[in-house]
Amino acid sequence: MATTVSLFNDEFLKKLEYLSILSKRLFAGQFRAERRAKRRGTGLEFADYRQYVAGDDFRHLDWKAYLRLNRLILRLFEEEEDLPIYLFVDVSQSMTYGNPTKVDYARRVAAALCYIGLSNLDRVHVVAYADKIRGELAPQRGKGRIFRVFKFLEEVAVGGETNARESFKFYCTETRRRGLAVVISDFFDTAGFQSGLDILRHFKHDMFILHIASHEEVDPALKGELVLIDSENNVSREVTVTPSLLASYKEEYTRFCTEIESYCSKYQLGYVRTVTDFPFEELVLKVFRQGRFLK
Amino acid sequence: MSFLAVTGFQAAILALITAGVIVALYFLRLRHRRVFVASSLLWGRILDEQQAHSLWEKLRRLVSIILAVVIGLLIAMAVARPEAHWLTGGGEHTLLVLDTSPSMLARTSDGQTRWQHAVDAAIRLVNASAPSSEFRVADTAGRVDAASTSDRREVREAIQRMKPTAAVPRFPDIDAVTTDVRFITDGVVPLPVPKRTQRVSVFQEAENVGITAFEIRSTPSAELAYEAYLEVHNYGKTAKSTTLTITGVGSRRIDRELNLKAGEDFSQPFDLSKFEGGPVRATLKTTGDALPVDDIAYAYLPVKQKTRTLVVTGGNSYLETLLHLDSLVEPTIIKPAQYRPDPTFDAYILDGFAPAEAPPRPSLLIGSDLNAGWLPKPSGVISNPRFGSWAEDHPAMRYVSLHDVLVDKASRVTADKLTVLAETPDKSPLILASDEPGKPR
Repeated sequence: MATTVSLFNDEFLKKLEYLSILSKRLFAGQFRAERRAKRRGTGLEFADYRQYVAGDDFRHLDWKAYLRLNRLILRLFEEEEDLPIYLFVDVSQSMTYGNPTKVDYARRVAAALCYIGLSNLDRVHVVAYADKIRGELAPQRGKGRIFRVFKFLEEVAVGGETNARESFKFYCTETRRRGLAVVISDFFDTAGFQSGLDILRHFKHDMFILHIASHEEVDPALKGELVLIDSENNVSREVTVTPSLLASYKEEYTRFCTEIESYCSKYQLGYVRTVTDFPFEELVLKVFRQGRFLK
Repeated sequence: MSFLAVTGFQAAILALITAGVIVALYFLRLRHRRVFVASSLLWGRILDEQQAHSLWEKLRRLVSIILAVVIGLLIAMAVARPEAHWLTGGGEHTLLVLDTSPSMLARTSDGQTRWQHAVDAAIRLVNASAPSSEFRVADTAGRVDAASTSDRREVREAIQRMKPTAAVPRFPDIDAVTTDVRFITDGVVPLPVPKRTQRVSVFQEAENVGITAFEIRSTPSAELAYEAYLEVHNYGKTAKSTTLTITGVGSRRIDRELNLKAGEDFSQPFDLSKFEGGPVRATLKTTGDALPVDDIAYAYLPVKQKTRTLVVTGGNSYLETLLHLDSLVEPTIIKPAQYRPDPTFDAYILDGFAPAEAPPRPSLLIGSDLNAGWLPKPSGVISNPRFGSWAEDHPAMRYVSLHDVLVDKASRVTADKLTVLAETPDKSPLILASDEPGKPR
């Protein structure tokens, strides 16, 4: 992760500044910002009319309407607030697989999304999880905080089994504002990838799923008599890898991806799958935009 | 089943050791390569599914070790050289007879002789047989009859020792252990063979003109004259021209061009009156002849002179008259008192007389009371002996009949180391001969 900053060259960062993260829903923000909020407030954009009641700011009375209708009508404006963005980065041991490793790829994506969010004055929470919450960066706002994000992502401890359910449950049960939850993971969870995502859905977050895979697990170059060792729990299995077995594995992997995609489709969650050898900049600048995650 | 390389016990030990080593190696086999994967979640699913549904997966290890042991045992058994008698026909005793008659020297269309084909066929037969089967190899000339053996090298050597030869063909006797009889022949010489004999034919038609008879005989019409009787036969299927040459001692020769149709015989006597005594050779020179061995024939022309014979007798008018009448004998008759050894004579006839020393030339002694150190001692006298049997095939007895010969008396002698030419019915020798001239016993 030491190379994160250097990889984000100036030109790339400049391009990121023109992007902003989209959310399908409106969430109540905490501070004034550039994003539409549910609340009506003091923004510039006209939103609606309503009957004046005592206590309203009479500066927003529509006097022309009063002259015409002889009624006090209040003009409402949209409030522009910040968006809470939660970046959940899977740092379990399985994410260290691949070349480059999935966790490195996830860190870079998270850093890029953070930068976009911070540039748009959104409140960005970065959460590293595996079997539990491994690290949490306090909400950041303003792109000047990007270096804290880099530092956090760089120093977060990697390892352990994946237990998204417990991690998300622990995180969400604390008082949190609803927002956009971005989950970056390979979704190798023995309890099932659904269990963790169900928690986030339960807390009514808008969600975006980034499924990271490595080329080695999509198309493994294995052959012969092997002992396969699970990188997370060290469970080993003797296996004779034959072409037919390899074909079965690929079939199973495709089914696994389809399950995740179907889940996301069912609950209208944004979903993008990528492999670690896919160019990172292309993912951020093109794929995310085509997937209506960034604009 | 038996093993050729080891005993049954050794084979069992070998099998046990092999199986043990393979099983041990199977369990001590190289550890599988360890490969870390991100998660065994998906691998686990497919492996569990396969193991749950596949009988093969359950039995794979067992089948694998059984296969390894079986392959190892097969290799070990191959080293032990097993032989299944029911499969290979092992334990057979084969009498392999090769026809060694001269016709086997005939060349076939491929340039080889029938004999070479016969040898090849015999060796093929031996090589194709079960290793434990035994072969007794014999020829029809009676020259080779090797003991039964399973040693292939010995069998092949016995076959290589054989060669075609001119001899009276005879099929070897079959012993009790013989289970199979093979006779490799060209079938030219008719030879009675046992019923169960399997013939292997190496016959192939060949162009051949050969001498079938060559004999020298005296001419009845002239004294001391001889002629050669010759027969030539064309065995081929086409007409042949051949040059016949008869040569004798010196430069005498007869040349004749013969034109023989297919299957035609030529027979003619040739006058040898101008030939000197000695060996006479008849040869044929034929283009494309397949069998050279019957293109040459030999005979012996007797020397044309009377036999100078010294007759020592006290007076035997019958004998003297007989010898004077024989045109081939020039007798000199003397009394016993006049006898002196004289090597210039060709033969001696001693009638009732035995000199102190054996005569220097072949001699015929007649008498019953002959006493000399070089003669067998008589042990008695046989009165009026009668001839019971005589050796008709002995050269000295050829054309001699003793049916009407009467003898007054004869000495009883022991025929030790002498050839009995005639004897009484009670086996008392009456005519004896010694094969060592001048050294009778």
